[in-house]
Amino acid sequence: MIDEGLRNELSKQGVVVTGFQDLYNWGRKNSLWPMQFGLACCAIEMIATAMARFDLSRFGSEVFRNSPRQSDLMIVAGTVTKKMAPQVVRLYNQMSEPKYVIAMGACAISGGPFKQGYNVLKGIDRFIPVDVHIPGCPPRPEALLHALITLQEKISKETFTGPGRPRHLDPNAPSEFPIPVCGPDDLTPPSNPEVWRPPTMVRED
Amino acid sequence: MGPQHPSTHGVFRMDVVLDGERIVKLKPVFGYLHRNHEKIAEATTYLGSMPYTDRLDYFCSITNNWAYALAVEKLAGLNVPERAEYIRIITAELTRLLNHTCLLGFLAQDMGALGTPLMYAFREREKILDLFEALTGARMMCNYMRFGGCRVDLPPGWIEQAARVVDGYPRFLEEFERLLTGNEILMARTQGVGILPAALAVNASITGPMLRASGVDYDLRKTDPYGIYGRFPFRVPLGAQGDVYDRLMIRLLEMGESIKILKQAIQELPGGPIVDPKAKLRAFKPKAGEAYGRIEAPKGELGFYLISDGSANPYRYRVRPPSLINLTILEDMCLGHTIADVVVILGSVDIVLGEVDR
Ligand code: SF4
Repeated sequence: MIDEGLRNELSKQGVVVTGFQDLYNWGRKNSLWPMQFGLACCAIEMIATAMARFDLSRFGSEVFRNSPRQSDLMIVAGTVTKKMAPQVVRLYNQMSEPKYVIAMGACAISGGPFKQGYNVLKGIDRFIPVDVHIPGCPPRPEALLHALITLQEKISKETFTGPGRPRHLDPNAPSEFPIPVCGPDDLTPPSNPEVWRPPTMVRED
Repeated sequence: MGPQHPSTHGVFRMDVVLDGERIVKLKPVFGYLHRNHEKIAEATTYLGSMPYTDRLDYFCSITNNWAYALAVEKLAGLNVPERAEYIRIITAELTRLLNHTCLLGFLAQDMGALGTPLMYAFREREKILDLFEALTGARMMCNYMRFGGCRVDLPPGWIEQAARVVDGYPRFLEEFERLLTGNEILMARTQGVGILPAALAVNASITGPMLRASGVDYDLRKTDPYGIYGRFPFRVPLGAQGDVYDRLMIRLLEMGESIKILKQAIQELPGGPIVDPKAKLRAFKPKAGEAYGRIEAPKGELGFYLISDGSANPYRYRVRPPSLINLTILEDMCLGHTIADVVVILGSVDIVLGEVDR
């Protein structure tokens, strides 16, 4: 570990001393490639984020890719129906590691206004791990930018080793998740217990 | 093709049979965004389903509101005050501008003009969204109309700002036209592609700009005037061939007509109340009966059919979505063309999957 005073002194001279981990994370967080993949209303605001006024390029993520193989960030923008959920999981599986997910809007988080519908999935986090949730219906483009910055902060804190290391650095962790199938009256399984562990409420009396 | 494909404008699948590059058979597959809109509306109060109509065609929430409000007003016999009628027309025509602008941007994108036209289109969209945001508090899901009027009055300075946006619009249209219409690639990709003959269009009950591009003079604002459209002079532009190029040009011309209506409406806007004092929002129970309210939404005839049994929620609620019905003849337009043309033809139909699948 380099001495803090020396590091400051060197940075005044234009010399940056840093560790490989920081450099790696810095590169990763500033070059996220989102997948061009919209499901419903929220997708329009996602497109608006990439357009002139909000200008996603300022954060190094303007390269929306059409192919999951070339992207590492999935923005689930919109209502995921049970007919569409298997496709969403399949696309996620096809993305290359390390990969991240932003759930954009009430529908992607919980089913949103259409929660009571029989055909609407009550949150994509039942099947794939979500890194950042954005509430709203639809969230404003600024909210998506904020989510992106939050994700960047998260990436910059990742470590190479230790129990807290991210999934893609753990050889035993899965990089693909089982794809649900449309059963007779619901998706089977209705959720993936590996991913979705809702907190259990402990009542006090 | 699909359900995840950059040119299907949402979650939509086409089963295509090809002979080399040519289309032999094409079957659209719907339902990837089916969100139970109609059944949810039957389980909620009349007012409660107003926000759901916003989410049908999410580019044009205000015109969706209007169609639904119109149906309920017919059912309950409510009148709309003068000022509210004007505000409705102003917001609805702004929505039409918004929808056509975005569609042209997306269509150009489908033809391979990555970025530039869409950037221009979304720049204009933001200007209109600023107006909507100042008026309703939301950018996309405006939820603005109420039975017998509108939700809130115009904030101070709004009408001047709207006038500025409208005055600036023709310049954008000119710019956009220059950018696109003389373009050789665009001509080659659109002229003579996806021809829809007038007879077929009428038989398939196609409505909206798509029908008019085939040369059929049918615009609900003229043939079955609702609101106070009868007071505004405007022309209904018609196409000749019914190909993709005509559909593109019709939308450009229609925007010019909308600007005419907007200018006049903004100038004449009267004062007064904005909601019928008889209209109740809570505990709203219209008498038993049925009603069908329809408007010329930017995509075509949008209708709401309601049956009331006298209780607080509709007994039956059904939407006539223009996007779905305009999509049914996709196969006829695509047969014989190449797979690359399908993308452009689908783009020119102007679909929004929220409305197709409901
Ligand atoms: S959260 Fe709202 S805006 Fe987003 S997809 Fe759902 S209904 Fe549409």
